[in-house]
Order: sequence, then C-alpha cells, then structure tokens
Amino acid sequence: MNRYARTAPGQTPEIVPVERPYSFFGLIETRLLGCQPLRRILSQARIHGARTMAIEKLDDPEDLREENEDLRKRNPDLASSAAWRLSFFTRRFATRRGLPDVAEKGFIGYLIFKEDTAPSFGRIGRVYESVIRPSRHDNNFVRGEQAWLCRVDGKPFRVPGYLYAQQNGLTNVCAHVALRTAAARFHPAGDMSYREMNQLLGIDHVSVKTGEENGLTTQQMVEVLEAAGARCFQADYSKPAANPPPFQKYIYGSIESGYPAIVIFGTTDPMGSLHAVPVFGHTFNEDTWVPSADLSYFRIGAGTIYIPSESWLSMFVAHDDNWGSNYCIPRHYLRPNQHPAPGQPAPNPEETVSQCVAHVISTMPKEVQLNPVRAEIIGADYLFTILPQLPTNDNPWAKRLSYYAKNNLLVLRPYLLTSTEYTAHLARVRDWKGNPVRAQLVNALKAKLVKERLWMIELSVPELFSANLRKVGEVLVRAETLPSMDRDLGSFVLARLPSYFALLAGGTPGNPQYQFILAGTESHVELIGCEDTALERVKERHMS
Amino acid sequence: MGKVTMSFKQGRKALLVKMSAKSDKPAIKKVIPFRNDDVPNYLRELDRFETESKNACLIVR
Repeated sequence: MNRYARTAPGQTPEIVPVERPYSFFGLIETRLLGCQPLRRILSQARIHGARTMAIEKLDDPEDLREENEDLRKRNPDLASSAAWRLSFFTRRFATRRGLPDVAEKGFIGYLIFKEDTAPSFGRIGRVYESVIRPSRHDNNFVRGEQAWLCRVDGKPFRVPGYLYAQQNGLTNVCAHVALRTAAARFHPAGDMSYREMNQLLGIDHVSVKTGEENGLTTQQMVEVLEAAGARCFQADYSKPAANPPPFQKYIYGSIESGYPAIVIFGTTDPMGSLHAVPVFGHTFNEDTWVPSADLSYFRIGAGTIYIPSESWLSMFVAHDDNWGSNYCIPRHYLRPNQHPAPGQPAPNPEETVSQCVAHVISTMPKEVQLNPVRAEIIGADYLFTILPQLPTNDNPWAKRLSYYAKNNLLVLRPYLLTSTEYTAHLARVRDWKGNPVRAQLVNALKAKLVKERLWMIELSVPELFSANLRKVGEVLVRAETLPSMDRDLGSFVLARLPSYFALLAGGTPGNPQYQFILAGTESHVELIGCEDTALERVKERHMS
Repeated sequence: MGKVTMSFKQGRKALLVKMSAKSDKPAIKKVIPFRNDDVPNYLRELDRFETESKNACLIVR
C-alpha cells in the first residue's frame, strides 16, 4: 500500500493556513518552479474552499524510486530528485494536531510535486500525480471514478476522481499520462506504472527511448490499455472516410457507462505533433438548443433518424497534462479534421490540424465485444420496428410515440450494465402515476435473464429526457458477443415499452414474432442512474 | 460433474416461458418484420470505418 507517493510516509508536515490573504501564486513562484498545471490544481483547491494545506517532503517511495531508476538509465547524469505531497482541507487548523479531527468529507484532494535535476535536461518540476474532487456543480456527470487512498501524516483519507498526471517528457510523454488515467479504471492494482507500460512496449530508455521526438503510437496505446484489462474501440478521423459516425458517440458511449476515453487531436505545434487527453465525464444542459437543430440528428438511413442523447451534452470533462485537471472542454470546440474535396488543394496544415480530432480510443471492460455506437444502432433497429406495432391498450403514450417517431424526434441513450443492475433498476423505477414494474416479472427476470453484460438502449422524447430525466422504454442487446451484420436476432434480449415487455417468441430473422406481456407501468419511468434525481425533480416542481 | 449451462437462445426461451407464466392477462403475439435495411447497410459501412481505424498508426507525443 505504501508503494505510492500518495500513501508513503513523509517528513513532519508543514501546516499552512491558505485562507485570504494567503497567495497560491506566491507559493508557485517561490517554491514550485512556476509549474503551469499547479496553477489549475491550486485553483480547484481554492474553488472547493480550501482553508488549510499540508506540505510533506517525501522520503523515497517505491513508485518515485522506480521512475528515478528509469530516468537514470535514460539520462545517467541525473543529479537529484525530490518530491512533496500537498494536501488540501476545507477545515481550518493550524498544527498537525488538528489533522485527526478532519473528516473525510473535508479532504479536497492532493498533489505530488516532483523536481528532477540533471545537466542534460536542467531542472524539471512537475505534478507527478494529483486527484482533486470533481466539480461541485450538479450538472457535471463523472462516473466510474475510483476512491483514491492518500495518507497525510499517516492519517488515511479517500478522494474520488480520475487521477491526473503530467509527463516528464523523458521516460513518459503525454500518451503515457493519458493512459495512466484511463488504465487505472481497469488495472488489477488500481494504477498502472510508467515502467509497466514501457516494459510492455520494449522501451528500455537506452536503445528505445521516449521523449523529444519520440512518442507512442495509437496502436501501442491500445496495447497498454488492453494489458491493463480494457477493451478498446477506435475511431480514426485522420484520413478521409465515407460517412464516419460523429466522434462524440464513441466518447459518450464510454463515459456515460463509467469508462474513460482518450481523444487524440492536433496542436498548433509546428512539428504537427498530436496530443492526447483522457475524457471521463460530461456536463448536461437541459436547456440546450442543439437537439432542435438539424445538426443533432443521427441519420442511419432515410427511414431511421433520431436524436442521440449526447445532444444535451455541452462539455466533456477531461484532464490535459499541459494545463491541469478536471477541465470542461466544449463539445463543439473539438471537431474532426475537414478533409479537402478531391481536386482541391490541401489547406495549411497548421490551420486544419489544430484542435481537430484525429483519433478516439474508447474503453470498456474486456468482456465487451459490441461497441456503444453499434449497440445504439442495433437497438434503434428493434425499437423503431416494434414501436409502430405496439398494442395500444388505450395508452396515450403509444400515440404520442407515433408522433415523435414520424418526426424523427425519438431520443436514444446507450448504457452498459449487468443483468443484476438492470433488474435492480426495474425494481426502483415508477411510472408517472407511481406504478412499479410488476414484482413477479422483476423476479422472473432476476431468475432467468442472461447473466452477462448488456447494452441497454433507453428510448425517450426530447422534453421528457431533458426536463424529467425519464424514458418510455428500453431495449436490451447482448454486449459480450458481436452480432452478424445481417439480422439474426441473436443479440436481442428484450424490449420494454409503454405498458408492455416485448420478448422474442419465434419467427424467422426476416419475420420475428414478439410476445407482449403487460409490465405494470403505463407511461414513462426514470432513466437509469437518475432514479433519485428524477424523483427529487418531481417533488420540487409539483408537476401533475 | 460440471454445471450444465443453457445457451443464450435457450435462456431467452426460458425467460419467455417464465414471464408468460407470471402474466395476469393473455399475452399478445405479433409478427413484426423489419421496416427497411437502413441498419444492416449502415453497419457494413461502420465495419469498414472501424476496421480501418484499427489499422491507423498515429504518433502521440
């Protein structure tokens, strides 16, 4: 447990009151080498209401010793290395005797600042790693974050978040640090060291080096993530392609289910180098105009057009190793590269590549074979086919859905879950009049639903989705097998629509037969992950 | 003796039987053919795009 700088013993902590008039600017200028990402991290500490900071000089934790050994292989003139742990608290205390009284909720997070010196590269100060609590805004959605254990003067604290790290540009580059953030979600040890990544890729820091002109390839990045335990789905926008899906769909499909994605984009660097950032959350804007605009429709074909739920996403939450942690990147700021039409001259590379998305690596657990984009499309196929034939049962929602379907206004949201999570969700939801899904059916599903990961494609309409966080149904599609291109019905598990479950009862792939079973719910229910939120909104708004 | 496991299709059938048995009203059966070939056609295009994406080799520094 004490392998890590975040948990290793340090020297006697220096307790620093950081309320006004204390200046973090002064700290950076006088003690922390003007390190840029530190400015952002300390700003987050300020935003979270930091009152006290503990500074501990670290002795020689194993992870830093390992990095120094590798640095010395690459740069044998490494002269010195030192590291400090800075921890932030909302509670006011003046001496280390105050630490035992600090509750975990008063812990904002920590950073490890590391300083390396060698004649060959000078003096490098950087944030070796940091975890700061996510934003306090309730429209930020970060899922799948770990609870990172940190020790301050021996006292354990846990902080939720995705680990941020800054490259040293020598034994690790931006690709490594983006990988570290993402790989931690899957790695059995809960963190993946740079040495493990480099050994896997044959980077020995002598004959094969990183840094300067040398980075990692996208294929090497995938190799590292898969070694950590992830399944990767790649989407490449660096070359012209016919009708590629929006890159946002690959990112959203991962982060909404609690798995990070890595976005690779061009920079203004004259060398044309590519930069990687890990993305792990998003903001949700219930008032956004975007879903009303043509550009938000996803067109599978002339007869299959819908609004993806990511249309209400306004920002991606991401780290950028050059600038710091937990940034919001406007969704429409990043865009795919615009390739010139045949016969047209290529524009100036610096103009076209800058901030253009070249490649996306989305991650999922290794068992998952079907990616979120395909899952959503296959789900649309079943839902849009069954919907017009749904027994009406005098249910007004059947008519309403017919209107929304005709006007291409249905909303789809893919979400990866286990069968246990699905039945737990069904047991919690209530329709608008408060009716639950019949308990006998939920129990039947608990007993007989296939025990594997599933894609749940939730179906809603714009107003219901954005204002109430509710849906009219869903379809379950198998995630651990890859269905054939032609419809063989092999991935269909079940669908639930207003009033009914729809189960496959036979027929042929061309003419499937469904059996409709009354579900108990009649209208709309909460989206998964929003059960409590939706309930609160109902209470607050007193809507009938 | 090893545990006997059902295939996915057998499991799906068993789920249908169990849920039908718990239904308090007669279930409605309908044959519903797919309306068009939009999805299979799009999936073929997507497959080409994703296969080419896997082969891309960009350097990230």
